[in-house]
Amino acid sequence: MTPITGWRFWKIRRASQDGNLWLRSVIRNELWPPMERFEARSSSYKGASHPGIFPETHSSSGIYAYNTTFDALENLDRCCYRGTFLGKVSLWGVIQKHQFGYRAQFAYPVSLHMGICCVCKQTINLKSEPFAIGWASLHITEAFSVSGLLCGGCNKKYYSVDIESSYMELTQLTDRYGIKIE
Amino acid sequence: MGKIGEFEKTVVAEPLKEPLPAKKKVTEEPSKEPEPVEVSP
Repeated sequence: MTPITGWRFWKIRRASQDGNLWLRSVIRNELWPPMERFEARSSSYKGASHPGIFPETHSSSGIYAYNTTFDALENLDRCCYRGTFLGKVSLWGVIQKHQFGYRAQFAYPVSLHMGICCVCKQTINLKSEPFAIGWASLHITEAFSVSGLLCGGCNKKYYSVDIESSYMELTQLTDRYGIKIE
Repeated sequence: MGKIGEFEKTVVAEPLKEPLPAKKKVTEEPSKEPEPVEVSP
């Protein structure tokens, strides 16, 4: 059976030590390893999490993804998706299918399509619309810088971050993961 | 990660090959043999 394709949001992070860019889950503080599958972990916000579990039927565990972009964007107000990137993700292993999405055992990103402006929440088509990525040091740890994604309008109005270098940064990230901007 | 609605069913997707991108091949230049050095007697 072929993998299932879903849609999900990611944040991006930049490691202070080597400058490498990482995809990070939105809710959990988990980095997605480039060129390796991402595994579902036991649910624990407080303690250590353990890989190698499969999502059980009646639980909240697993790697979450939506069926469609519509289902994903419908949930914009439920969680803090400002400044995140929306893209396709391959899902495989044990998968719990829900009405609007999935909870999967294994996943790997396929492509990035849209971004959500962290100021006005407008969706940005990454392929055809201007965007900017601003960086700030994280207060909790100095190991990573946090990104803020801006639409062209908000960038021009408030920040004036160089758009060309932002596109190059995102390309650096997608090259590292072997995925596309579509 | 937001609301994915009511549970419907469990499926198992076991692809023959994991859908990971192919790793880029690093082409290494063949190491050159050291040039013979003339040694005067």
